[in-house]
Amino acid sequence: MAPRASWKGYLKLSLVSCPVAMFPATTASERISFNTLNRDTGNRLKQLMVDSVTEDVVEREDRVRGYEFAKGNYVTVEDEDLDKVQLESSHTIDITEFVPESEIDTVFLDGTHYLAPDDKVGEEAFAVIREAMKKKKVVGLGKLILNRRERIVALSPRGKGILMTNVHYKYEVREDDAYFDDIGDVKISEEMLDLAEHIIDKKKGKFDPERFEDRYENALIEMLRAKQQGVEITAPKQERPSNVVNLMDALRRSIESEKGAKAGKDEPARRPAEKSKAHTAKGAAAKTTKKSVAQKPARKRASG
Amino acid sequence: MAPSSSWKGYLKLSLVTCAVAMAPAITTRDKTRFNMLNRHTGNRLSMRMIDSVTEEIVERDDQVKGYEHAKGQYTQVEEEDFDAIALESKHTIEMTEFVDEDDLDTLYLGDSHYLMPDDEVAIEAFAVIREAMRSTKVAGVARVTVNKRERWVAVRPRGKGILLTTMRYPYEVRDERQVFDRIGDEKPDAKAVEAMEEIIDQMSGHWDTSWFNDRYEQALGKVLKAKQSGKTIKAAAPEKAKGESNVVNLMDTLRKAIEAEKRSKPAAKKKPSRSKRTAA
Repeated sequence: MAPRASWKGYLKLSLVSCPVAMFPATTASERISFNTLNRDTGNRLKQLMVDSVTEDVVEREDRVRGYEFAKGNYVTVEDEDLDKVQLESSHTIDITEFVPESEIDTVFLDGTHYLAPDDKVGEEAFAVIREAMKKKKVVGLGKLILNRRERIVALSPRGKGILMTNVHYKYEVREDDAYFDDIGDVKISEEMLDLAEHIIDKKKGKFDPERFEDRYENALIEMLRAKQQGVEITAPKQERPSNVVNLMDALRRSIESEKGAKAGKDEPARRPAEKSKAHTAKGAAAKTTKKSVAQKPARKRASG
Repeated sequence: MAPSSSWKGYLKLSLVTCAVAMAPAITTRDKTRFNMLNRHTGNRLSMRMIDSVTEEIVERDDQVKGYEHAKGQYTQVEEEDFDAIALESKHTIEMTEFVDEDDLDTLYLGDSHYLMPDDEVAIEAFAVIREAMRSTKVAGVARVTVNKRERWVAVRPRGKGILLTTMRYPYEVRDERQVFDRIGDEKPDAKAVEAMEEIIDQMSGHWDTSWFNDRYEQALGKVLKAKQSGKTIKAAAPEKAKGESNVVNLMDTLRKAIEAEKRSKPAAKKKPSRSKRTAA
């Protein structure tokens, strides 16, 4: 079943435009969520807003936004005030420039959406924009107004579609100088570097997110299942490491130990010892079905 | 002085470990925030939780998390239950695998954090790990437990420091085929693509964050200033959306676009600014 578009509008590049539909590329819907209950009655809770001084209940129409311009001093801000800062809403993703994809600083990247042409007529222009970006190995940067706010977005070709990524504003990203300038400069020996590179080579693998299992989420699912059946659960214990004392020595011993560990490549994703039988089965299923239906928690299973 | 860090622990490559501090690269500190007030008293509001049936106030001690295992039926989950499965934080970022940095799929990238050595002793090992990753052009893959939850992260060199980026799990990412499969397979006209490449060339520049401004935030700031000084502000007339018609003759439009981009000042050709600092 095709998912529902979260936004429809136009993709515009110079004089070329085509209708597009946007779909969120990420979802929290498969994640386990909880409600807050009253322990004694088992009923769901709801929020009530009260005056922090008088404790009186304050109904929606008596609430107003306040901007604290000085400690304890507020200026009230009505909806009409916010209307005054409205930016022109053009329903258009306006690509204003292109940059080489290799220059993108991923620190600035935020939420992602898939972009697809919204009708047959628009497909050709969409495909032309997509293919030209792919050939040029560039990412388009553009602007879009969503919920009054102007967002900066990065567009990159992805299969037959386009991936649109929100770009953080400059003031949302901390300059790394403040953190990195204090790091002392050290000369590192060629030999150490060689050894470290060697260890990295030994551990080199292919980027494959499908192998990454959310062990906490899976433990949560197990726990909920156990709770429903009234089983006890115990916590695992782990040890704490420390700074390396002799670096050269640690590098040499690392290489020795990496030689021993043949299975190093598959190691990060699969730790069979820490997995329950149920998840081993699921892991295998997830590999082929991609969207792991199996990750769906007890809810599905209980009702179905 | 370096800003404070949010997390301290160890960066580990095989048997080599070094003490590191981590700080978030993203901040909402400078964003305008509002509080909700009681219009009549001007007092801040606070939230109370009440029982949806009995309407009684329920204090924190009497609140419990509930998992809805079937419509309207909840399993109560206590803090001890969560503690039992909590992956005890090892305070270690152990890089168990390395991948080509170009292979990282940005679709999976989450928030970024800066990583730096936490003491003098750690600097050398930190530098060795960082430089070895840089020369081999790889990103380290590791698991980190923060707030009981385990995330997987990508670790990459950045200047004198290291960038750590959280990654999304596959179940948090939608299958793109649901969206892209219905797009037609027709190859676009080669001439049209060529023309588009020419337009792209004319609009090409370098990564430059100086124009990444939040115009809404700036306009909001003006409104708030004016409110404080009691001025009235006119509503900005939202610009009319300009002709967004479909392209009728694509090739024709492309030709016109090339001409148009030639005439227009190459706004995009900004100074090749401080681009990303992988090369430091």
